[in-house]
Order: sequence, then C-alpha cells, then structure tokens
Amino acid sequence: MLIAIATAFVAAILAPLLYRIKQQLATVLAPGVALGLFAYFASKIPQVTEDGPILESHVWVPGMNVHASFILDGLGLVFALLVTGIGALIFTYAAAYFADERDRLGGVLSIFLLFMGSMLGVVLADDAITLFIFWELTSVTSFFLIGYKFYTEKAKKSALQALVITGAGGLVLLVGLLLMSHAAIAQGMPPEEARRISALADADIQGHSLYTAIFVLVVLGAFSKSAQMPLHFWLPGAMVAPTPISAYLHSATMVKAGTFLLARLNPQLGGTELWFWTVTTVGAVTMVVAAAIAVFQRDLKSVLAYTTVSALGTLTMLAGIGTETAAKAFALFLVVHALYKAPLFMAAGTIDKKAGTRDPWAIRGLAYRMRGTGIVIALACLSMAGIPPFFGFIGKEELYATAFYYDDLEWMSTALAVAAWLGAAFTAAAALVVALPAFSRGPGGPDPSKPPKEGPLRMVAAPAILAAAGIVLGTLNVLAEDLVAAVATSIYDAPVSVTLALWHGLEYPYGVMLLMSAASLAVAGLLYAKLSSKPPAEESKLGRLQGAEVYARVIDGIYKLAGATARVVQGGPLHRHVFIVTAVAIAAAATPILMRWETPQTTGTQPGIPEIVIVALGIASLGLLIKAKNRLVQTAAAGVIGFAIAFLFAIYSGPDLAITQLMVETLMVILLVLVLHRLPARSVVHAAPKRIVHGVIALAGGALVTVLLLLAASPRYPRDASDFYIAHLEEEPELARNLINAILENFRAMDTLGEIVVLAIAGVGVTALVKLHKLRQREEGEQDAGSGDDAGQQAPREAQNDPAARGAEAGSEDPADPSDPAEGDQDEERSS
Amino acid sequence: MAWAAAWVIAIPCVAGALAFALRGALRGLFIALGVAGATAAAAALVVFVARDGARDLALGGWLAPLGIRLRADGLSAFFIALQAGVGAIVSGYAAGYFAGDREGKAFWPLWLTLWAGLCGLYLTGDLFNAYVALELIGVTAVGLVAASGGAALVAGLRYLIVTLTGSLLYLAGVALVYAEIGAVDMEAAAQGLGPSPVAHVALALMAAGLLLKTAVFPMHFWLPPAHANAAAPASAILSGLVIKGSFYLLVRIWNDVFSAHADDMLAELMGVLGVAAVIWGSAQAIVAARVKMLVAYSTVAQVGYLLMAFPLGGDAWPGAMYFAAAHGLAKAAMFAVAGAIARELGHDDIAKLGGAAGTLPAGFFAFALAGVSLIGLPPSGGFLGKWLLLSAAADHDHMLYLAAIPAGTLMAAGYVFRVIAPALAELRRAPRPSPWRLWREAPPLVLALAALALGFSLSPALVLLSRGAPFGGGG
Repeated sequence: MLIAIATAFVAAILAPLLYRIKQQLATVLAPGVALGLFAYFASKIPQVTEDGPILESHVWVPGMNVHASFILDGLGLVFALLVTGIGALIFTYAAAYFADERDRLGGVLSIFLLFMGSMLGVVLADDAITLFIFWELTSVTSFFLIGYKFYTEKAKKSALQALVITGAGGLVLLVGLLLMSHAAIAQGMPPEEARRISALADADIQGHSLYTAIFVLVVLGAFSKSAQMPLHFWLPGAMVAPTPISAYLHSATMVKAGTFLLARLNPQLGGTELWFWTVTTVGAVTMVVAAAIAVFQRDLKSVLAYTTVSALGTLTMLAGIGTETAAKAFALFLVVHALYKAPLFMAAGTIDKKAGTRDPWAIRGLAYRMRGTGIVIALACLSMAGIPPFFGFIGKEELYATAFYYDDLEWMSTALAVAAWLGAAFTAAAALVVALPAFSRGPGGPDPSKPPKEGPLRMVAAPAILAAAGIVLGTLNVLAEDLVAAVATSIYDAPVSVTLALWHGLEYPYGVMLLMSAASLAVAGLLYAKLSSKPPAEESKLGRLQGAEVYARVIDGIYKLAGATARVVQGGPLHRHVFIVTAVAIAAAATPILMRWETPQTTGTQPGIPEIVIVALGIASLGLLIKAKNRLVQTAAAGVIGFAIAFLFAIYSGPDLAITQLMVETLMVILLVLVLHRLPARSVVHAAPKRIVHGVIALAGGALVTVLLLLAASPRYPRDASDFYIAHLEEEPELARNLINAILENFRAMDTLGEIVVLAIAGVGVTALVKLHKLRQREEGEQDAGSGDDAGQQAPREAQNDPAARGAEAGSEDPADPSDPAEGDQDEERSS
Repeated sequence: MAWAAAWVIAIPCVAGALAFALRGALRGLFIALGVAGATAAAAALVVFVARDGARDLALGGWLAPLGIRLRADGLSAFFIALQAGVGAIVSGYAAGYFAGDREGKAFWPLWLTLWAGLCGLYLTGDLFNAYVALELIGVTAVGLVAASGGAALVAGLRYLIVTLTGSLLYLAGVALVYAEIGAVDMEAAAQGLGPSPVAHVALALMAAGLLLKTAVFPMHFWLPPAHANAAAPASAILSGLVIKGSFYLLVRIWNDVFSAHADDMLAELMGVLGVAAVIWGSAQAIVAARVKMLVAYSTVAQVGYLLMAFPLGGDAWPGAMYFAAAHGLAKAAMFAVAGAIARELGHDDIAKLGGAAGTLPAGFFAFALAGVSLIGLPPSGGFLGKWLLLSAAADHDHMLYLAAIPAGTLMAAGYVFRVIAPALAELRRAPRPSPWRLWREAPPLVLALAALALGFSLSPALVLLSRGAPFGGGG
C-alpha cells in the first residue's frame, strides 16, 4: 500500500517536469497513474471480500515505536477505489478544462496527484501518526487547490479559512488518537499493538475515564473535515476553486474523510449514548438544513456544495446510528453520492465555461444545445432524486430501512424516518433545480446571439462514465453486493451479509418506504414549481450562517488582544524590565529558602570597633545615595560604599581582595564621572508609589543576598579543596610562588584563559563600536552634503533609526512614559 | 578522540583572534580555514562519541574535582553537531552578506569566539568553567547585536544588562555549590550535594539565570528587539544557536547535577512558563509588523516547547533536544531569508510584501520549507520533536501540554502564512526575479532542507543522544 501511495507522489513530482517537455505526456500520465492504481485496488477486491483486511507496516523510527502502518479493509478499499477511479476521470476532465491556462496545468496536475496520494494515505492509514500526516497533507494540498486564483482576495481568504478549520481539526484529531492508544495501553494492551488503530477495537476505550475527552477530540476533527454544522461554512466558501477541484475534493474525496473517520472508529468509539446522540443529531440536522439551504441558491456550484454538506450529514448520521442496517446504508450512500455528485460538478464546470453563467435559473433550454452535458445532468439528477432504477433509489431505500429497523427507541425510529424523508425531499428538489431549467423552454435562457457549444469530448465523456455507472449499478446491483458487505463489515465490526434489490414487495416496511419516496418526490415537485415561477433572490440570507462570522471574530480578536497586551508588557523603559528580572530572581531563590528553612549557623567573631565604624560609614553613604538628587553626589556615595567594603576585606586578612576592590572602585568612579558630563546633572525621581515598590524589591534583594551569604558561610563543607591545593604546591614549588597564582595559572588555567578572552572580546567590541560610530558620523555628514547613492542599502537602516519605529518595535523606549526621557540616550552615550 | 574535544574549542578561538589581528586576503583565508577546521573537528568528535560513547579529557593533566574536565557525551555531541552544522552554513551566508561591508570587521572575531564559547559550554564538565563560557557567549553575542548599529545598539545594551544579570545569578548558584561541597566539578557536585536546602537554592538561582538568558516568558522582553534589529547573520546565530547554549546548560545541571533536587513543583512551574511562552510568543508573532520581528517572536514561542521537557521527562527529553535542533536550523534559515528580503526590498514590512515571492523566489521557498518544520508539519524535525513531546504528555495525562502543543502549532501556521500569503499574492504584477546569488539563496535552502531531513533521521540522533545516558536511564 505504501507503494501505491509512493507511486502517486512520484508521479506528482514527474508531472510538472514531463509537462515542460511535452504537455501531452503529463496529461496522459496523471489519469494513467490514477487508473493504474484503480486497477491495483480493484484487483484486491476478491482478497479483501473473502479473506478480510490486509495489514502492512513499516518501521519509521526504530526504538520509538513510530511506524507507518496501513490496513486495507472493505471501508478503505471502497474509498481507495473512489479516490483513484474518480481521480482518473477528473484528471482527464481537468486537462481539457484548463486548456486555456496552459502555463498552470502542470502544477495543478501535480497537486492533484499529491492530493490523491495523501487521500489514499488517509483511507489506508492504521496508526495515529500516519493518519495525521496524510490528513494534514490533504489540508495543505487543498489549500493550494482552493487558492488556485490566489491573486483574488476571495480565494486567498477561502483557502486560508479552509486550511485553518481543517488543519486545526487535524491537530485535535491527533491528540484524540494519541489518547486512544494511551487509554488502551493503560488497560493493559501492549504498546506495539496499541499503536494500530484497528487493534484498538479490542480495547474497551468506551469504558476508560478519558473516553469523553477522546470522543470530543476525534469528533471535532471529523466534523471540521466533513463540514458538519456549525463548522460547515468553509465548504461553500471553498467553491471559489475551479470546478474540477470542487468536483474532486469537495464532492467525492476530501470532505468524506471526516465521515470515513467516524465509520473507521465506530468499532473503537461507537455504541455509547454520547456517540449516538451527538453524532446522529449533528448529522441529521446538517442533512436536513443544508439540503433546504441548497434549494434556494442561485449558483449551481452552491446548490451542489450545500447538497454535499447535506449528504455528509446523512453519512455522519448513519455512522452515529451504527446498527447493521446503518452500516449497509453508509456503504451504499457513500458510493451513490460519489457517482452522482462528481459528474454534476463536472457538468456545472462545463456549463460555466461554455455558457458563462452558473445561475441555474439562467440556463433554460441549455440541454438542447449541449446535449452530452444535458444527458449527464439528467442521469445524475435522477440518481440524486432517488428514482428507480437508479442506484440512488437503492441508497435511499436503505436509508429509510435504517430508520425503520432502529428498534432501541420507538420515537427515535420515527424521528429518524421523518428526518430522512425531509432530507430526501429537499435533495430531490435540489436535483430538480439543477436539472429541469436546462431542459425547459422559455424565457431566461443564455444569450441567444452567442449560443453555447458543447464542450470537448473529454469534458463530456468523463462525467458520463460516472453518471452511467449510477444506472448500471442500480440495475445490476448484484455487482456491488460483496463490496458493500465488506464495507459494512468494517464499520459494524461483525460479518454483514448484503442482498440488494430494486423491488422488495409491498409488505411493511417496504410499502411505507415506497409511499415515502413518492411523497418526497411530490413535495420536491411542488417546491420546484413554486421556485420556477419566482426564483429566489440573488443574495440568499440562509447561506450566511453564523460560522463564518464567528471565525472572523475569533481571528480579529487574536489580533486585538495580542496588540493590547503587547503595549503593556513589551514596551516600557529599562527600569521596568530590570524590575521584572529582579522580582523573578528573588522569587525563584526565596521560594526554596522559605520552603526548606534552616537557620544558618555562623561561627563569626564579635565585630570590633573598626568594623562597626566602617559599616556605619557604608550605611550612611547608602542613605546619601538614595536621598541625593545630584548625580555627582550619587557617584561619590557609591564610591564610598565600595571603599568601605575594601577596608573590610583588609581587616579580615584578604589583602589581595582589598586591593582588587580598591582598583575596581577607583576605576568605576573615574568612568562614571567621565560619563556624567554628558548626562543631565539631576537624576530622575519616580512618583511615590513606584518608589515604594522599588524599595520593597531592593530590600527583598538585600535580605536574600544576606541569607545566601549566611548559607554559604555555614561551616558544613570539608576543606579538602584548599588542602589539596596547598599540598600540591608544597610538593611542586616550581608551579608558582603563591597559591592564588598557582590556581589561576595551573589548576584552573582554562578558566583564566576564558576570562582573558572575555575581556579581550569586550575590548574588541568596544573598539569596533567606537570606530563604527565615528565612521557613521563621517558618512552621514557626507550623505547630508548630497551624495545619494547606495540608497537601497541605506533605507532599512534609516527605517531602524526612525525614533517612532524604534519606540513601537524595539520595545526599548516607551514614548508614552514621560518619567524617564533620558534613558535611551543615556545608554547610547555610555557605550560610545 | 580525547583531543578532538580540545580542537573543537581551540580552532574557532584561534581563528577569531586571527580574524581580529589580520587584514586583507590572509584574514579571509584564516576565517575560512577556521570555520572548516572547527566543523571538521566537530564532525570528528560527533563520530567518536557516536561510536565509542562518552569520553573525558582532563585539561592540563589536573584531574577533577580540582582541575577542569572536558566531557563529551551524547548530549554534548548533539549540540556540537547543531553548532557546527548551522554555524558553517551561516558563515557562508555571512561571507556574502558582509562582503565589502565594514560591519563584517567586527562580525568575524566575535562570531568565531562565540563559536568557541558555545563549544566550550557544551563540552565542559565543570560548573565554574561553564560560567566562563557563558560570559564569553554573552559578551560576544552582545557585541554581535551592538555592532549592527542603530536600534540594535539600544537593544544590545539592554541585552548586555540581561546577560550579565543571568550570569550573575548562575554564578551565585555556583558559589553556593562550592560553599557546600568545596568543588565545582559537575560529577563531584552530583555526588556531594546532599539533601540540604542550599542545593535547592543553588538550583533555583541557576535556573532563574539560565531561563533569563534563554528568553523564557516573562523574561523574554529583551529578545525580540535584539534579534530583530541585529544584522541578519547575527540574528540567525543568536536565535538559532545562542539561546540553545543556556538551555543546554540548564538541561545539563538539571539532569546531571541536581537530579535529586529537581522537584516536581519547579518542573511544573517551568512547564507552565513554557505554555505561557508558546501562547504569548505566537500571539505576538501573529501581530508583528516586520518579518524579522515576527521571526524573533516565534523564537520566544518555540523556546516554550523546550521547557515542557522538564515536567514531562522520559521521551520528552530527546524530543525537546530534537526540537531544539530543528528550530535552530529552521530559525537560521528564516532569519537568513529575512535578511535577504530587507536587502532586496529595502524594508521588511509585512504589509508591503505583496508579490515579493516573485523577486526572491528561492528565498520564499526556503522560508516556506523552514516554516513547515517550525509549524511542526510532517515530515520534519519539528514534527518529530513535537510528536515525542505529545506522546510523553499523553503518557502522563498532562492535559495542559496536550492542549498547548496543538494550539501553538495552529498559531505558528498562522504567523508563517502571514509572510508567505502576501508574498505569493499579486505575483502577476511583481517585477522579474532578482539575479541569483549563491551566498543568499543557497544557505537558507540548505538549512531549511536540513530541518525537513531531520524528519527522517530521528533514530541515529536518538542513538547519539543516548551515549553516556545524559538523561539517566538510557534516554
């Protein structure tokens, strides 16, 4: 199966290349590959129907339990046949459809093939990761297909909308699938087994505590892909795509992926109250409402899009019911729908191309000028309306039978029957809206001066084959029995036997069902007659349901929220950022200290008079530093504190430390004084509340450092480090004359080397900056004088230098905060 | 084998000094030799570690716990491979970017020394030596930002304050460890630190400092202006490689030194910060006005995923490491493209990107490919990294991360498409493609393809990461 998928991908790479060499090659290659794959899957029918599913697995990441696993069962097989078979016909049709956009056909065929491969991957995948990969690939390829006319605003928006909805659904689905195998492993299933989706049917996921979460996640994923209400809005929007794309993605294949998933997971997740009520209700509502909306559309593609949503609702409802009959009906309706919807889309595309309109009420009499397309429409619509002996009739009968044979709850059986009847009636009405105007004579036809001509052979033959299949399978319905049974077996997870027939006799419930069919057709006829005399308004309000607006609001909201919060947190002066950092650091260190409080033990001696004097001096300077407004005084006070510490070092026999400290402090004072003349003389004073908060943080920081020092000074560690160093020095006195040097130059020479490099680099950096600054000043002077070349290079830099842009973007200065106007400049000056 | 570790550090260090001292063609030659040599040494080291397992090298013949020990295990080798791979390609890009430009003079010595500093950090087995490496990285990184001038100068100074504060906090933690056991060797510290409160405080201080340097929400404010305003090669290095350094050190001490003190509460806190970072950074990237600002904010978001490994543990460790590598490659590619956009169009306003893909087709192609990995779409390194994180979250019933990872993925798709979509729009009115320039087109393409290729090479990476069992057990 991997080979089949890989073939499609390889063909996707080859198609555009071949197209450049010779166009015919690519237009033959694409349908040829699809047809070949169709034959391949068709050859597997006997094996699957007789021996059951075929399994296949490839190791992807050994040791991490990541495999690419595939399964070919009845459900997967019928989907694979639809994807490849309809694919072959649509690729043929597309080659003629895009004839006047030759430069892009190669690309379209390539993405079509990519999409086909991804879709095959989805229907054949048997583990979460493989399913997710292909699921998202169909979303991404469909993004490019829907966005075919990417130069129009509408196509861009619709493509992105479809991607966001289905892509998000895929992510949610991934988490759901992951939790499923997790639940199975928790119940004792071996991990190698639990990664296979098919194996999970043996686990009791319905009984796991995570079931509700899994259910919600999986169903959200399925509903988004299969356009169930209220997530359906992206599908009619996606109709901006050229018609072959709609025909392929939005009737037969991609949108069915969600219903496929529900059917696939019915054995694993179905059968609960939650599953039944949620899935059945959403499906039934979507089926009826979407079909009703469809009747009132003024665009052939919209009619078809909404009936597609309705058909997806039918399939969802059947997956929700989950009885044996429902499984059979699902299998039948799946094929029925694909066989009539794809040709109708193709016919709509041909009409659009040749008659220049897609308004069903503006093509009166068209069928007599475009006879081939007219026949296609007639055949497909008869199947769609469920008229015997078409395949659609058998599908509808099975749908009614599902309702009648549902015997858990009597009123539910009736409700299902009513819903099915309403859905069938509206769908039949929609079929009449699509077909009858084209066959009726009268006013409102296309422009008589330019009579439309029939499309080329390929554009007629491709849909005709599918539409004809509808009547062939309807009359020779025995052909489909085995396959339908295999599909139903996959869904129902127990052997199902299927006997199809057009005529079941008149006894209950078949007699009632025939009456219902007749009644639905009558209602459809009445509805059509009413619309025919007064077609609906151009802008149908029914079409614009809430979903699209909610989507737009959410997207808009994200923008607004992020913008508003950014202004609060992101911008702002330096002291706000220093505040955040300090607060976080204090909180981080204080939490473990407070949680595991141990009173530090100290063995310090009593301080003598000199220490007390020095400390008092330091504290006094600190007070001065806080109180003073003049920067020069502040600098001096800071210096005094440093010198006081140096004296403390000296008293406690650390002359080397004292000297270092003295040098650093002296340099610091000199540097600060040098910088001072470029700063305002008086420092900025914040408002009282800010000062209090800053004071609290400062006190907390001081307290924290005190505790840290006490902790570090607690005498609990062995002194072996210094002992070792001293011992070594005594053994090898040639190492150095003093211990500190020996450590710096020998034991830990790597650290010293590193620190030297740090200093050197700092020097390099400062030198480079100063040089750069001077160079710039000179150049800017020259440029002001009038040399305007090199403008392309200079533009971005000028943009960066723009103070407004800097304030908004760099987040370094906040124009709204007037408290510290000098700060940015101050930083810049110091570095210069 | 043993000396490969020393060469990995020494070659770029010497090349950096030469790049400062020499002029003209000789300078270019030694820069090229330095990059090639450092890459070769790194490759050799990675091969040795993958084949023979972890190795120690006592520098100067002084054994731990008193001398300084270099130690190359799977985790070190993994990050050195990332450093050398991204570093070599970005060097090629920078050579073209800075050709005939005065900023290049400051760039090369700083970048090569930064390379040495990062490799030193990845290889050292000593807590204090790691501090020295951190300082080296910090000073050179600030230099790279500041040398870009303009708004970058202001951002660079703020970055300087942040990086020094971070180092200081880390150093305070090292001091506490030394006070407790009288040694700064990682292995000695791991064995010597008992259940004392001091070790917990030391871990908290070091973690706070390193998280600040890794730009973890809410201490991320310095990153976007610094990364977005620096010259493009510098941004690629800073976002792709530098923040991985402090993250590596945090992972290292968490697993190797403080494994007995890393409690669940701290781990959960880091995970929550990670989730906040993912949401916050992504939201900011969605509203950013400039391409480079968008890419910088996406770094804030992507760092969040890395933090999720702390509470998840197990398979999440190699997952996060893999994610870090994929991010390094993809992010470097994106900044390289952003630089090309700014040079070619004269601006990088997202609002004015209409049809830009027609001017720089290869650039936007690379941006899109890198975006695939950044978003975490399969098959890519970003996807596998996220997958491992997700699996670990599912195994531990961590609903927060199960929800946050897909949400962040969706938001990432949103901001990547914000750049791609307008660039593709109005293509028909776009001017002809600008002439092909190898330095500009090839490096981002190679980086982006490498990020995708990671989607197929997880198992060798896992084997490498398991050498020396850096995550305990066997990773």
